[in-house]
Amino acid sequence: MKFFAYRRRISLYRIFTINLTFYMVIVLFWVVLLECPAAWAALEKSSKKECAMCHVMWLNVFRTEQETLIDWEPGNVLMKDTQGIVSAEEICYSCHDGYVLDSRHIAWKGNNHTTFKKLPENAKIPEPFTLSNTDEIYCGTCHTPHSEEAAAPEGDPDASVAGPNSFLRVSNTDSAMCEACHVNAADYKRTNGHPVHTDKLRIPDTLFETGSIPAEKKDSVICQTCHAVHGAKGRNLTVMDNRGSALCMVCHEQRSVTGTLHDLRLTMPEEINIKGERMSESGPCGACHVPHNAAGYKLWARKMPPGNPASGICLSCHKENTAADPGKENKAEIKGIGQYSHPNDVDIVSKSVLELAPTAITDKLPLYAKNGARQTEGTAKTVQCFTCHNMHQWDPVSPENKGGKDAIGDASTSFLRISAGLASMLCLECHRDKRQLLSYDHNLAVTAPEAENIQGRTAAVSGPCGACHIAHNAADKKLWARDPAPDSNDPADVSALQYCIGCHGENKMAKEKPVGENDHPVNVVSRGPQIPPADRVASMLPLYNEKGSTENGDRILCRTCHNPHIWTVGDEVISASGERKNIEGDARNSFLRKVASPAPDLCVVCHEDTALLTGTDHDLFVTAPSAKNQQNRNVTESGQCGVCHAVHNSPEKRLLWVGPYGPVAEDQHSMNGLCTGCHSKEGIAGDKIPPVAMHPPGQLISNIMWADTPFFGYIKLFDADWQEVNSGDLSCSSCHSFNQWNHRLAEQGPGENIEGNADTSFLRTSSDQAVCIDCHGQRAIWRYTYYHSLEKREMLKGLRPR
Amino acid sequence: MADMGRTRKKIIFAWIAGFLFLFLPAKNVFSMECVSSDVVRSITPPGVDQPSDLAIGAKGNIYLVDGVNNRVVVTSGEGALQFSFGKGGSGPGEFQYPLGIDIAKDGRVFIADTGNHRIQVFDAGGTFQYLFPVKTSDGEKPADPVDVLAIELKNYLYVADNDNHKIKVHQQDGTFEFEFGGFGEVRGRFRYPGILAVNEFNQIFVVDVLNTRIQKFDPFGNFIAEIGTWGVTPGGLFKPKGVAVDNTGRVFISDSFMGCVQAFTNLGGFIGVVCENGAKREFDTPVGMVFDAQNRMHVVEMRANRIRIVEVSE
Repeated sequence: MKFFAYRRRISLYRIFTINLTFYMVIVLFWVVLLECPAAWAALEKSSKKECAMCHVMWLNVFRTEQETLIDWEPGNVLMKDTQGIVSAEEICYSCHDGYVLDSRHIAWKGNNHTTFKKLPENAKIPEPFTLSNTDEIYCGTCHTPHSEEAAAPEGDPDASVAGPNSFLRVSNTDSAMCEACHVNAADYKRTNGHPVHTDKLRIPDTLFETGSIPAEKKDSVICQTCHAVHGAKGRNLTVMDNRGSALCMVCHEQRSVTGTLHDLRLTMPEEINIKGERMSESGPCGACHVPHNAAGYKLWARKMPPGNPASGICLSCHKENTAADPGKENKAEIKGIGQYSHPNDVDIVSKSVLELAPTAITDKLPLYAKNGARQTEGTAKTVQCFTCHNMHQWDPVSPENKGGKDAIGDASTSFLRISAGLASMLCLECHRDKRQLLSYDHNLAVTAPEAENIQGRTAAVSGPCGACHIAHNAADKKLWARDPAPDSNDPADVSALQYCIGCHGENKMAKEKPVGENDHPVNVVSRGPQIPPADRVASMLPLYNEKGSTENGDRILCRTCHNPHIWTVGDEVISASGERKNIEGDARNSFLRKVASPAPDLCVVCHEDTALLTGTDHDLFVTAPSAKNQQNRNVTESGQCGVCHAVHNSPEKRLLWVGPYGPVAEDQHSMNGLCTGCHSKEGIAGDKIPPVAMHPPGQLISNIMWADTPFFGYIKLFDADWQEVNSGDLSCSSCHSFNQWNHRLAEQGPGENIEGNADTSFLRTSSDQAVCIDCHGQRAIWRYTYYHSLEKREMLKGLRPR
Repeated sequence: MADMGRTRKKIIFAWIAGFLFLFLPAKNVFSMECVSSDVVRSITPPGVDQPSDLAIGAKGNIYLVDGVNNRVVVTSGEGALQFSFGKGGSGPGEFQYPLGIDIAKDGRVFIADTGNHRIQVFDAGGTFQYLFPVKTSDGEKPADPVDVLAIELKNYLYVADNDNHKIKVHQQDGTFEFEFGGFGEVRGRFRYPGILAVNEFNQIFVVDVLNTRIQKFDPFGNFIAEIGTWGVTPGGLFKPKGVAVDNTGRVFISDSFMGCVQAFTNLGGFIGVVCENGAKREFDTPVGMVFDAQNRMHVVEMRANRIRIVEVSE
């Protein structure tokens, strides 16, 4: 019984334990298989060593009870539409730690391409790239060891991670893979993104040492020239930390603004660029340029005004406040360009503002298209700020001179492309016709070195041109650099005259060459019976309007006759040393627009009739070349006209007479002295002296009738001021002109001293027609002979006319 | 009938028990073969980035190769920073991502200047002494020295030329002597030889990274034995990186992926995993190793940027 009872207990026990175990096993079996689906994968997978080198979780051992040194992690399934376990970063590192390939400094140092982030809404990933199962970028987006293109070259087990393979899904030669996705960030045209696939500049080898990848064509710029997908040292995956623009300057070394006023980190650290970056982030280059999504052709980093003019980037800081733009803050505490500034955005080709071929100035001073493209060909060549300024170099001569944040610029610095100091070569590069200025009196660096312009700068600092003109913040439209009205408290008294008389006056800078009271009239309308129409004059000499502009000008100003920049017309001699300091000028030079000697080219523009004097007896080149006038000048020095008339500082106000003034009888007309200066015993025309007294005064002679008769010469009457009148006494000049030898022939003289007769001899008309007959009728000849010839007087006494 | 029912139940029980045995192995049920250890200290020199190898100088200073920063950092045995030397470049005393180091008995410090394809030699104070290029033959790639090993025998200097899959033996003055190895999986050949070590018998141990083994050679390059096999179970190697021999002749091998160090006999027999409380002691990407005079194991943990000093039981 005990035995059976024992067996029964055993049986019950066995039945109980077997059933319990059975149910537990069934439950656990399904728990394992249903709750751990990845276990199915492990069940299905088996792998060889080479696969498991990366796909370690595929190893069979994880499907056994064997103890392993690492845990089975069935997760980390990243790739969409696939099953299985993709290797993790640690697997990559286990070979790329230097003991198969060293990628530590590339992939595990610095910044790497964004991963495990969703794409922007407007971005798309093209084939064959893929996203993770959560639509994020992951390593597998770009990399796979399984594509044909990703395979290392045959026989080379060490495909470089930096090379064209690198387990990439497609070849990234010349950054083609980068561009496949980043089509929106930059269109890779120069309009808003740094140019690529161009080899305009040489890429220094030092850049490649930083992780930059060379293109197939070594100096061609590609994405990876500046960016490293892995191990980037700078923000935005740049191969270098570019906060100080070091990356930019590897290639653009000559454009370093570091340490200059244009290094906005120093001067405007709080300023932000178009990307909202402060200067400390953007670096000195980033203040004005950004490589992607820029505002214009030059990769501008600032918002540009409508039309996107090239100089807009400069004016965004250097612009003056204007009424039209009152809210805009002038960033240039900073130098504004002022109300009057050198013309900008001007097409110098179409406007022909320069007296030279425009192409001639592109060697040193570039011209630009409206959008800022440098123009070497074509017609759309405009002057922009960059024409004169190189914004990247403070000192054109010494690039190492950065100036610093407190620098005060002058004509030798100020980011100019060529120094405008000393020789003003910057200005004269374009304004070449004014180069003579350097050698003569108007180079104030030589003649008035102490004189200061309105900026308080001497010519040595401002340059010879800068003594009178400044490109920015000038006093008026002519870019005048001197007080435009030094003798006036009326600010409206801005006369173009002042340009000259501001210096050429008593107690002024050019007191040695003052303009006095007895000068040729200026600031007067050019008109009169003997003066050609203004438009005809203006075709040869500039006339000015009341504002000093040549537009519809009809006034004579100093600048009508003088070009203050050219001492001698046609003289090419240029000397920066000013060797000709303060030489005495004459009618052949003296900044005259046209010479007045030997030919009176200048005078005859307005005084056309004076041209007839040439070659006559009154042309002292013919009759008395060594004779000197009251200013002690001979005809060569004074010119044919200047022998008798001094345009400036004449001793005689009337007719600006400077010729010798001869004896005049007390009852005779004072104008006769103009003739007797020569036609007297001591005069150079002593052999041409009317031997008998002049016409008696006080005869109330009138010439009105004659004045209305244009076909004949007529006698002229003059008052005591030598002004023409219609009633008065006869003088020599009543009958004689000074210039026309033969009143019948309006031509120049023969060039030799010939004897005159009743038709010539400078008579205004034949003596038998008008001069005497008008009053004396048939007795005119008798009277003329009686009063002009002592020899014939006695003979004529018996032939007294009726 | 009753017997048949019992038999059926036995079969079913056996079937279920089999599944249980197959699918529910409790890993902790079986004890791992361990070599117990205690951490003495950890040293984290400032600024170090992914260090690879280390050596101990005559004064007990630790020389750590901070290759990504192109320098060698020297600390005291206690971890106090002493000095560093080297900078990026290709001139004397300049490095390009060096990986390996060894210190000769006379105190000279040999650096495998990997990226510059050469060996540089310094005195104990880090002053540059001389350099020489690693010998390469026609058809070979530029030398890729990842480790050096200086032994007293014949003043040999062994250089692991990783990319050429060879060990290149020079005199310590740079004179080339001979080479052995080559690409392959058979004994005596390598797939990416890495860190080197030597035992008291001047036997040379070479980590054969992608062949997942350590190969042992006599000083003249003749194959003696291989240690370790492919696998992720105890005694197996997945990504072996470091090798060091303690003063009892045990061979310790680090595995950077599995994060462990395992001990083997000089003949290749598995001794155990370096453990902590009966379980694998976790190292963060262990690579270069060395034993000091007190037989303490120094392990470079590459991604943790530190040195772990561990006492291992005998």
